[in-house]
Amino acid sequence: MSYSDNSGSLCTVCGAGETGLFVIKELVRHGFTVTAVDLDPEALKRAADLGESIGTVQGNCLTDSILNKSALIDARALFCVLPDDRSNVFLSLSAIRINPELEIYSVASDISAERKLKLVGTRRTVNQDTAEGFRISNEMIRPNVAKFLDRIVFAREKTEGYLSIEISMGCPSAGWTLKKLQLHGKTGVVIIAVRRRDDSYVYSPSGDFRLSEDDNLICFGTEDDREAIKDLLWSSKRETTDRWRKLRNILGK
Amino acid sequence: MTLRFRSGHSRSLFSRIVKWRGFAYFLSSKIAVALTLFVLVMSVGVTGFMIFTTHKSGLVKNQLTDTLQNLQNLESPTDSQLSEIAKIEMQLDESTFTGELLLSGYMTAITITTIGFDDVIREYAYDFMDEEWRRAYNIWVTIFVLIAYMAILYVNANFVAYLVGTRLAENMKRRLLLKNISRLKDHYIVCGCTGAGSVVISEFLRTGIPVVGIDSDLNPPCNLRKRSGFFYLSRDRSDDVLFAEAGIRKARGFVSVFQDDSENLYLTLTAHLMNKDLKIVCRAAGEENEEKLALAGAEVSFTPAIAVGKKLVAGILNMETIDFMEKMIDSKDHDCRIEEYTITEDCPSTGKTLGDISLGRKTGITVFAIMKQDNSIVYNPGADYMLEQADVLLAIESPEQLKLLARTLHRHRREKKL
Repeated sequence: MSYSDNSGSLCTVCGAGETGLFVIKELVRHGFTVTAVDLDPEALKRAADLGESIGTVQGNCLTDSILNKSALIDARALFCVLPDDRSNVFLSLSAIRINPELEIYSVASDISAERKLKLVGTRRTVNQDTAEGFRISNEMIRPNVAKFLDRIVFAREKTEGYLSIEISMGCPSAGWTLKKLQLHGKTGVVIIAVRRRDDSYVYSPSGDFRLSEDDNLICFGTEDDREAIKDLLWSSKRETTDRWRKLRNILGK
Repeated sequence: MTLRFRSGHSRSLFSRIVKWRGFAYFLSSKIAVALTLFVLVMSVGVTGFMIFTTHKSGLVKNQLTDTLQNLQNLESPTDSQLSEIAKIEMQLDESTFTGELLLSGYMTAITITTIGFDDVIREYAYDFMDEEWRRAYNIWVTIFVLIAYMAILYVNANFVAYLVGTRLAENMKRRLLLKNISRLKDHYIVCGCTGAGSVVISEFLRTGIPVVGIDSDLNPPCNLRKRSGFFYLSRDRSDDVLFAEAGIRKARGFVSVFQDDSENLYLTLTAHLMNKDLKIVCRAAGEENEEKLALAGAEVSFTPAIAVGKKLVAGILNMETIDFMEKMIDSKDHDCRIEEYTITEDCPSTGKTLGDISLGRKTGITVFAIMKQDNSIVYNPGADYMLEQADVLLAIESPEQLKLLARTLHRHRREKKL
C-alpha cells in the first residue's frame, strides 16, 4: 500500500506515445521517479518536460543493452505501452529475465494477447478497447460512479476509500454469519463484497453469509471503520462463545 | 419533408404508395416495365387470335346451321336425331363474344409459353380453315411467337430477379427495422460498432437501454447480432437521414467512437444540431481536439490514452481496488456493477431519512456511500441520514435492482397522498 517510500518508487515506461506520456504524468504526480524509453528523441523531450524526476533513454527497448541502461534492476515497475502486442510480450519477457521481481503493467489490444502477457508474467494487462468502452459507457450512464472510482483509486492520501479486511488464521469470527456478528449494526459499515480464498467474489453478501478463514471483507470507508471492524472481528467476547461452539461441535460429533 | 417521410411517420403502406414520390419510384423500376410489357404482349396476342377465332366461329356457325336445317327438314326424325338437334341449338346459343375472347386468351397463353398443344391447334386452325386462312395463321403465329417470346423472357427474368433477389426481402427487413426503431424512446445512438464501440453497446444493453448502432459495415458485428434491444443501421446514406432514421429526436444520448477525429467532430455537430438536449460523449484521438469537440456540442470527450493510462497507473497505485472492480466487470455469473442513483428535485423521498424509506428491507440493496452535491462523500450512511436533493446513492446492484431502487424511492408520493 505504501507506494510513496523511496525504495520502490522507481518506474520505467517503455513507449512515450500519447498513453505513455499520460502514464508518466500520472506517475510523477504521485511521486514516482520515472525512466522513459523510446526510439523517438522528440517524444522523449516531451516526456522530460513533464517533470524533473524523469530520466530518458533513447533507443530500441527490445534490445537488452538498452534495457540494462534503463535502470530495470532497481525498478519497482515497468509499463509496456508499445504500439503492438508482439513487442509488449517480448519486452515483458526480456524484462522479467533481468529482474524477476518486476511488476509489469502492459497494454494489449485483444484477449489472446492478454493471455500471452499473463503467461509471460505480467502483473496486469489493460485492454485498450475495454478500457475505452467502459469509460465511455460509465461517462454516459453513471458519471458519478466514474468520478467516485477515480477519486478512490487516485487519492493522494489514503485515509478513506476501499478497505479490504482479512479474516486471518485463528480469527475468532470465522464460522460466524454476518447477521450474528452484527457487523452493520455495531460499526455501521456496509460489507459490499467478500473475496473468497480462491479469489472469487461474493457481491452484496446477505446476513446469512458465513465467514471462513482467509476471506476478505470488502467495504468502502475510512481508516476508523477499518479499526472498528477489526476490533469487532477479534473481540475477546467472541472467543469464549467460539470455544463453546467448538465444544458443541465436538460433543455433537 | 424528406426526413419525415423517411422516419416512418406516414403509417400505412397504401398512403405511401399513393404518394407521388412512391409512385414515381415504382414507375421507374424494372418491374413496372415488365408488367407493362406483359400486358402489351397479351393484348396484342388476344387481338390477333381474335381475328382467327371470329373467322372460325363464323365457319362453325355456318356448318351448324346447315346441319340443323338438314335435320329439321327431315319428315320423321328419330330420337337420336332429335337429341342432336337440341345439342346443336345449345351450341349455337353458347357461341358468344365472351367465349371467343376466352378462347383467344387461351390460344395466346399456350402460344407465348411455347406449350402449343398439337390437338388443340389442329382443332382450332386446321380443321376449319381453308388454305389462305391457314397460311395467314402460320405467318401470324411465327411473327407473334418470335416477338412475344423475347418479351416474355424479359418479363420472367425481371419477375424472378424481383422475387428471389435480395431487394424485396431487404426492403421489408429495413422497413420493419425502422418501424421498431421509431417506437424507441430514451435510447442511445452509438456510431462505430467495433472495438471500443462494441464494449459500449454491450454495456448499455446489459443495463437494459436500447441502442441503435451505426457503422459503415453492411452487417452488424457478429457478437451483437442476436442481442435484444440492439438495432443496426448501415451507413449507406447521408448522416442526417441516418440519424433521423435512428430516432435522434427521441434519443437520450449519442456516442461517437470512430478512429478519425474529423469524422467524430462532424457526427457530433450533426447530432447536436438535430437534437440540442442530446448528451454527447465522444472519442478524441488527439488531446488537442477535445476543445473542438466540446465546441461542436460534445459534453464529454476524452482520448483513449487517458482511459488506458489511468487503468495502467491504477494498477501500481491501488491494485486491490482496481482488481475488485475488474473482477466485477468480467464476472460471468454476476451481473452486478457499482451503480448510481441521483435524487432529483421531484423525487418524493427528498427530506426523508434512509430509515424512513427502509431501502434495505424492501429491495435488499445497501447503499455504501453517498456523494453530496459539493463532491464530499459520506461512507456507510446510517438509518438517520437525511436524503437531500442531488445526492448520489452508490450501491452494488444488478440492473433489475436498480429499477427496483428507483421505484422504491418514488413510491413515497403515493403513500403520502393516501
